[in-house]
Amino acid sequence: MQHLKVFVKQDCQKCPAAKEVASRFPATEIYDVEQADGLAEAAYYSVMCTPSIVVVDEGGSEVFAWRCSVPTPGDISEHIN
Amino acid sequence: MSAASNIRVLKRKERAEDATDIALLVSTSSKEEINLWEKSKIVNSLVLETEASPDLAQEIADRVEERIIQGRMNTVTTSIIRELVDLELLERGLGTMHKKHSHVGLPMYDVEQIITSANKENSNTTHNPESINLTLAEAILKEFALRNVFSDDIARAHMVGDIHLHDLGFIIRPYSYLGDTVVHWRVKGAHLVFTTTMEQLYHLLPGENRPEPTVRVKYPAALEMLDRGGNWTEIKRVVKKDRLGKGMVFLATSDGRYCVVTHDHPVITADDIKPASLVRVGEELETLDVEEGKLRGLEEVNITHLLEANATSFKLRFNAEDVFVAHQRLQELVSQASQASSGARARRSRERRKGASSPAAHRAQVVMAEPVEVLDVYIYDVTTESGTLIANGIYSHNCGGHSLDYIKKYGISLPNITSTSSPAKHPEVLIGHMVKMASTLQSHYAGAIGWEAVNMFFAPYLVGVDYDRIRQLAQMLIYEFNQLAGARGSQVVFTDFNLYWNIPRHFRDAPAIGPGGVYTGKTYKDYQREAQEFLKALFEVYMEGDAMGKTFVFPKPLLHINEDFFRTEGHEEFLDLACKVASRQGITYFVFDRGDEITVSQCCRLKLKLKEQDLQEVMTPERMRFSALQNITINLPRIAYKANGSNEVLFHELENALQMVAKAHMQKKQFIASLLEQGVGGPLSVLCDAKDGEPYLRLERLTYLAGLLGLNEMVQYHTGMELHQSQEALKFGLKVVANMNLTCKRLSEQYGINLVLEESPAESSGYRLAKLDTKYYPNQAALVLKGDLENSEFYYTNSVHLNVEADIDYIERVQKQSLFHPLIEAGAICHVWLGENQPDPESIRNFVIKTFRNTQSSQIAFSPEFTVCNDCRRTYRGLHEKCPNCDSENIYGITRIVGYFSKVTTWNKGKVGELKGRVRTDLEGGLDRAAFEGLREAGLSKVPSC
Repeated sequence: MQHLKVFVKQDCQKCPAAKEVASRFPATEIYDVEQADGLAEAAYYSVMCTPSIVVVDEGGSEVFAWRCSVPTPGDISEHIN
Repeated sequence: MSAASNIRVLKRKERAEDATDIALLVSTSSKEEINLWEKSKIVNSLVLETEASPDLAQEIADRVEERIIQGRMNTVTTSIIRELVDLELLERGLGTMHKKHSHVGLPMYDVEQIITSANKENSNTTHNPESINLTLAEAILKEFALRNVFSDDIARAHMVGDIHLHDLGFIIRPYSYLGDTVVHWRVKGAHLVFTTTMEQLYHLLPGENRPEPTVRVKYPAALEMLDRGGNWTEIKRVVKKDRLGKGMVFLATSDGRYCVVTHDHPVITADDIKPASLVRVGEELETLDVEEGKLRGLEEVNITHLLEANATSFKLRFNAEDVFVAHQRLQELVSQASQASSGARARRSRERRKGASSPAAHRAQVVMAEPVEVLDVYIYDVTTESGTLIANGIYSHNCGGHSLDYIKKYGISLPNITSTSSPAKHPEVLIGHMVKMASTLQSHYAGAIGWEAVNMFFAPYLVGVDYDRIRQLAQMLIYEFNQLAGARGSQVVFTDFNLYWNIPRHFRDAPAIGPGGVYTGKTYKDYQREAQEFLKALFEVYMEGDAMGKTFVFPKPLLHINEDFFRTEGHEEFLDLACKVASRQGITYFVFDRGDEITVSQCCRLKLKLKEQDLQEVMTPERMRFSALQNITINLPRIAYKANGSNEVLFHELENALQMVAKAHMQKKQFIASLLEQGVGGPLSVLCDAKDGEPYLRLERLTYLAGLLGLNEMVQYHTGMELHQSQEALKFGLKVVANMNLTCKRLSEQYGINLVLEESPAESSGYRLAKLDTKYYPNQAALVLKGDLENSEFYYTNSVHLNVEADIDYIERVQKQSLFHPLIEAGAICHVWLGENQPDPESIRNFVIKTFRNTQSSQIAFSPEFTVCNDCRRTYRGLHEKCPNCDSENIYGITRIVGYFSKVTTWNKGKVGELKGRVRTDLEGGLDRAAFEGLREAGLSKVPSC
């Protein structure tokens, strides 16, 4: 099943909105890029800024991404199966 | 007669007075002296060198004498006596005393080996008398550093191979005012203004910090300093520094003001900012009539008269005779100048009445600008928000890679070169100056000398020059640097040229310096055409190669690719040329600057990002210079061996290793700072000497590197998979590097230094650490080491790179390695090994563009291999056993070892092992855009695990 990976950090104005939008979808994972695990995951998906949301398939491959921006729930629904 | 009186001491003049005596010592028996036994010499040497108590020293001397007598030695050398004393110290458990007393030297056998066989630590060092000197000196200095610069735990970690301490290096020197310089300050926005000396201001403030042994800093809260035009600027810090014998200059102006500043202090004249030593009589300085303050309804409290009570008052500061002569002369000069400028003053006062915009600012002529001898021990400086202040009523400056503009503006004036050159008027002379500066710098730096935006800074010298001559100049520049590399012997002059097709955005509006060191009145964006022509000419020369057609090794061209590059007219044609050079000669480096990132590259892959403070200097590019103090490489596989499968232990050990790296950096920094205490007469005077008000090497602005080695083997041992073999392994590798990145940030804050990760080129340290692991962790290392273990041609994979022997597509290789690059802030590179293939330049071009667009790769380089035949004097593609043309075996191979090309015969065994395993590519299949982009879309998880 496809799900979302959300990349956030503290002192990031739009991050709470990104978390809020993504949390409406099941199995969403949230990563803090100021922690080693979050930073490693961000590097893996070439996420260079926050907030970013990546849609991944069950194998962890990127299906679609919004880098440095917050999509609407409608946008996400269009790209997630 | 006692037994001791029969002992004869053969003395080599080891306790010579100074370095010259030591250097002149020739240790043949004919030079030895025979002295009678004097036990007191042991006592004296122990007290002097180890601070032993006289009683203890006497006891040890007695014991040593006893041993000599017991051993029936009628004649002993001083080194045997020293060994016996050392033995005695060790037996008594006096380790610290032993460390201080011990001998640093080399066994006879080692010296013979160094003389007769080439040192392969660096493949760019050829075997010649100078390099033998270098190797001998290095052997002693390394031992000295490990015993004396670094603490025991750091030295031990290096010796056993947990970490590798690279090279030695740098320095800083203070620049400033004398303590009696008068300044005006107040509490932010307050009505009351204090007029004090800098010395008084410093001592009135609370809380002293000691960032360096010779520097004391205070950070006032909410104080402002009087600045240009009667404005106020926030005081950031007040600094008190040891003067360390630094030369001072006395500047006096026609309105009777004076200021004593360090000779390299930047002084703001009417049309320039220049070092005090270059200010000439007749030039104009801006001064401020502080009385104007009263016009604004401020109340002044002047406590400068209290200075007379101070021990370092003005009169005490100069020699009595000098004071008298200086005062008398100053009076005369001021009176002459006043008469001359009385007309100007009247005009000014008329302007003031009319309400000129800056009523307090005047121009005054310099009437005296001379070096003075002062007795002050300390000098002071105030850093303000605006970078300027009013000191003794004079508008002044304070301030905090190598730029060609530095030489263009100041010419060549170095402490170790007797003649001084004015700024170059002709391009050929400028090339000569560059070469000399590079050569001088190389003897002070351990690593590469990178030059920023060479083609752009050169451009103002090329106005109206026809293309043939530009081409000739390009050829001269490349040959001069290239041949200088070998001509100097010793360490090669490792040179990098940062090059731009488009004038980089940050330099566009910087005032251009032209022939004679004069500002041309234009900015660098006006020289784009000349800069491009020169760049084109340089690449044409690179394409041709040398007289035998073989590739140049240095200077390395680092072509910066950014978004503006693709917007600049002619970029397609030029990129074609650069890619042809990459395909044919391999020397081109493609450096990617994405977004607003601005970088300067040097060395094998070091890439320093310019920070906000650096960018403030772009308008005066001659001030830009960047370097790293020291690289310390962490042996990552060793950490995995210690962890033995435990994540917790592995991350704990990583933290420990980085803590050790930070600690070692601080020890090195302290050592370099201690060399400063020798002042301008010290060993690093060249790096102290800057013409722009700052030391050439700025200790606070350096980068401190933590190098990575063998991530692939660490992950392989820990997870059972190499980085390219599974998504999990790759992710674990990223987690290790992300963890290190964050730890570096934390340690940077803790220690107040800029500690960042670098992909260690690890040309020799990689082999050394692998070899030590075969000794200390033989079973573990055998499982993951790459190369040929039987023939000792083994190695750890470079930095975070994927296994060079892995048979994976280069697109995938670059894509995966690039994931690490944003985490490795001080530089990372992807190598594309071409072997004997000569791909279509179009393929290279596509590869470069796609790497820029679709990955986070910092830099990429394409490396072909060549065979050069000494008999038919031609160069052939690929590495061959015999000359493909004449079958001669009098040949040698050339290819890129880490960051530069060198003869394969000079490589160490580990690198030879790596070369044999490298998977080469012809870039076939690299053209398919879908394949490149598809990799991200399809996901790395699709990579099969094996």
